Amino acid sequence: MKFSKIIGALIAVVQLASALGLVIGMHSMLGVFSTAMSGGEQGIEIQFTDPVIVPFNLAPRNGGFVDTVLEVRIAMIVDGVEVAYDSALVSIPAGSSVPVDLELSVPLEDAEEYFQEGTELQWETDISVTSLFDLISFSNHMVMEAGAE
Amino acid sequence: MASKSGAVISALITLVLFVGIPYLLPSYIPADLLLQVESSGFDLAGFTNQIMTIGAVTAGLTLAVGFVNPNSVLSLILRIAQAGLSLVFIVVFLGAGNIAGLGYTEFDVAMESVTSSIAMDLRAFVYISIATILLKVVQVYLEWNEERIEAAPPGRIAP
Repeated sequence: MKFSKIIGALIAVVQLASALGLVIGMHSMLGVFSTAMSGGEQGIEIQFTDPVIVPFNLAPRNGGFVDTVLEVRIAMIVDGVEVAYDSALVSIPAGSSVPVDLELSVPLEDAEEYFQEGTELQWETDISVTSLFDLISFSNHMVMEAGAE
Repeated sequence: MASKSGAVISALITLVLFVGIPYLLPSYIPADLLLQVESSGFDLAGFTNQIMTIGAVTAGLTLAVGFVNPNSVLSLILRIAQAGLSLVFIVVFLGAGNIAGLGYTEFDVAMESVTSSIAMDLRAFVYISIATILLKVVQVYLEWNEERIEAAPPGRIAP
């Protein structure tokens, strides 16, 4: 067999494997990202206790065939200053769902000040999903003005 | 003769896939989806233009390869150029039109009171593609050399 044919076969195998890897990795990665995002769209029910608790419940689901790692960070920004944050790093095996519960805790006295009119309140979220043995990643840094859907 | 007709057919298929379809694609995308894509900061027109340009050049190269003497240096150059162009296509495709990003895409989206920065990292696949294209160049050279030796008259060593 000619050497050029052997190289040709090797190229075909590598290209096929990488195309397959790309499709499988993207499927897992974007699936986890979209389900994590849809979990955050359910609305925030703030618990006015002392301290005030702002819970975020995400239910990312990995419907793909390779494991993914999800990193989430949520922060509360008041007048440009970060006053509270929480983060989580979870590994989501293929075909399963891992709930991610985050909560921001703010003293009642401070919260009354933050939630009053005239205060510039923002929610900042960082969602990062890596897949295919950390070879590919997708991340979204989002800043929402308070009251935004 | 067979290689010429094969080249014409391959060039036509390349034209249809990489020029015809990207040209017609925007008219088949629903208007609201098109608006959503454009508002996400993704330059769809620029992306399709890049794909069509690469497609047209690839079709031209495919045609030229079929019509030049396969043992000539020009044939070798054209085939290496074809391999190089396929790498450019992969980089453009994985980088969503951003060649300089080498598979790393970043774009900002602003909607009402929400701003979003999205980043996608597919550089690993670009590196794999660079490796396979380098192998392809080696393969093209070996094939060209083998063809040249086979085409030489008996008892003659190809120059």
